[in-house]
Amino acid sequence: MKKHCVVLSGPTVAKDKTLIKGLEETFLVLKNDDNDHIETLLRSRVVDLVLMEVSASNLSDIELIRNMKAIWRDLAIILVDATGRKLIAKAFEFGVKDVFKKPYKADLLAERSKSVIAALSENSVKVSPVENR
Amino acid sequence: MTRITNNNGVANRSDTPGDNVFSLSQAPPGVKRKVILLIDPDETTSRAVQLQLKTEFQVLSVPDADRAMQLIRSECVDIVILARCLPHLDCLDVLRKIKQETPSLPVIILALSPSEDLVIEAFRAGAQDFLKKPLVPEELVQSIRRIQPDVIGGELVGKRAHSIRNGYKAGWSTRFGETLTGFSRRFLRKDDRLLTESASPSGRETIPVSTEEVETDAKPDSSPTMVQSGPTALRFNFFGSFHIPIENWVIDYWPGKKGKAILAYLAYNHKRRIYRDVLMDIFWPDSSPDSARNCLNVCVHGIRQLFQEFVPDQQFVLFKNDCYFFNPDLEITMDVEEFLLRWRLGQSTEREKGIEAALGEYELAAALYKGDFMQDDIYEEWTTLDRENLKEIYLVVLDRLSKYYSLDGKPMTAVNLCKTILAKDNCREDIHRRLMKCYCRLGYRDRALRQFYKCSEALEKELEVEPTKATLELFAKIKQDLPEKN
Repeated sequence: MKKHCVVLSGPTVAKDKTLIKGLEETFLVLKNDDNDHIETLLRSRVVDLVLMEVSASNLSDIELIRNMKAIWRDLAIILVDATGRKLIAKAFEFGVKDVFKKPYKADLLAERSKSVIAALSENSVKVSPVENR
Repeated sequence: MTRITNNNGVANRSDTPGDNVFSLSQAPPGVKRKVILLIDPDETTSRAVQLQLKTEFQVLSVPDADRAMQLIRSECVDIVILARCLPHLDCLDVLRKIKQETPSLPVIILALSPSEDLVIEAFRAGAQDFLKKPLVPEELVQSIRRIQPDVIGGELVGKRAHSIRNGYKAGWSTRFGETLTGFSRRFLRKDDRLLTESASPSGRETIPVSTEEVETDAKPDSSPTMVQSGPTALRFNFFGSFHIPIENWVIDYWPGKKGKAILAYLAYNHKRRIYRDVLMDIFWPDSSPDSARNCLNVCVHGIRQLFQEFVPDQQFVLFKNDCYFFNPDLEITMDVEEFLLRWRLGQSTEREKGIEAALGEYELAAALYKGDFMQDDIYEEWTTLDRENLKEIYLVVLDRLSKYYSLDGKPMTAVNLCKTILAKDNCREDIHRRLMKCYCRLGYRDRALRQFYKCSEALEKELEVEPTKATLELFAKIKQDLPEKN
């Protein structure tokens, strides 16, 4: 059975060994240091979940999420290190599944990732790399 | 809280905040409206939200979670706005409860200074948005539109409308308590407990709401257009707190204080027509005519909506030839009228056949007096004179009864009656004496003596006078343990 694909995007999460270890047991884990390259990555393969680390109050990252959700509607996103009520609210508005603040607990984040993927599977959501536009 | 709408159906005025807020507002004809439930104990926020949204949404507001859940269960709500500062309950718990029962119902959280953790928890629990207090109206409207893009007004839709009407159609006047739906039961109290019955089966209908303050077509003397399936009898109770009992239920929600006062005034004077100007003078003596008329229109509209919640097609308060009046087709009864009737019958019977024959009427009159006339509205000037007059009559009735029972071998009954009289008027020396005698007959000499001192103290304190000779003599006799002459 093909493994679900999870992308760790951001300078910290992409290097978090505990998190990577927790996720690699179940998923195919891809690392992406720079959020600017995430769209390229998403176009290249089927991705089920992105753990995206955003810079503090960086609205451009939030805009990026909006763009991603616009293109890959069924893509699940968990935001890491989002600060500020407005930013968090915006993120949820754009459709992120959850938000974790730093310092996050890697095991909890891994567990949450699994539950999100499980929910996607239960709903038989097939994440497509094909653009919906 | 009530609203009145102009001819375009746009809300243009609301009256004073108060009680548990409930309001209906109207959208332009032909445009869909959604029902927003605001759960917030803070009246200021409630009012702000209502004012902001009144033209496009129907806003219901409740101060606590219990009542909110009742409304949500009645399936009449399209969006929930949940304030964080709920009494006795964490708003996240309420949110989870709502989401557990109605997962698809959108919820917006309002909080004064939310932590990021709270925001995250709220979204995790299923909130659709998170807004900060003090509320920025534009933010709220944007949020609601984002959640439900189709919410730009419209006809009143949903099960609420259906259920209210169904309750009515099923026989409001005969089996009111069983057929009225969850939404409308918010107004009804039984044994001081709010009820939790849910709405009737789903369906979509519009509630016809009168949109303007114009002369009605109804003919006061005989109205062929009157809906006959509505209630034909209406009872108003003025003694104690003003309320409208219906079978085992009580309507005790009012469209604002003035709305309540005007409803009571019209009901109290239901046998005559009241000129609009008279009402304006009584209730808004210091306002300009335009302002007073506007306020009166708001109140009358609120009163009509109150009744309309129960019987949409029935007209209760009519307006014709510059006069307001209750629909003469209704059989209106009042506890005050019954009380006065019993009192008069008692008087005439006593004159003809003696006190013993009149006891029944007096007892009935006393039983009707549940408290002073509109005792919660002592600052309504029009109630003052009648309150005093009715109280006087009540005291006379009790006097008659206590006098009879004190001489007829029922001193304990007389004692209770005397105490009731003294609770209303502590300076009634004759009643103090009667009480002393009754105590003596019961063998309570000590109480009889104490009653004298209570009498002396009350007279001194309130009137700065000594007890009369008769009282002093009675006291001396009791003190010396002499037999009392009747």
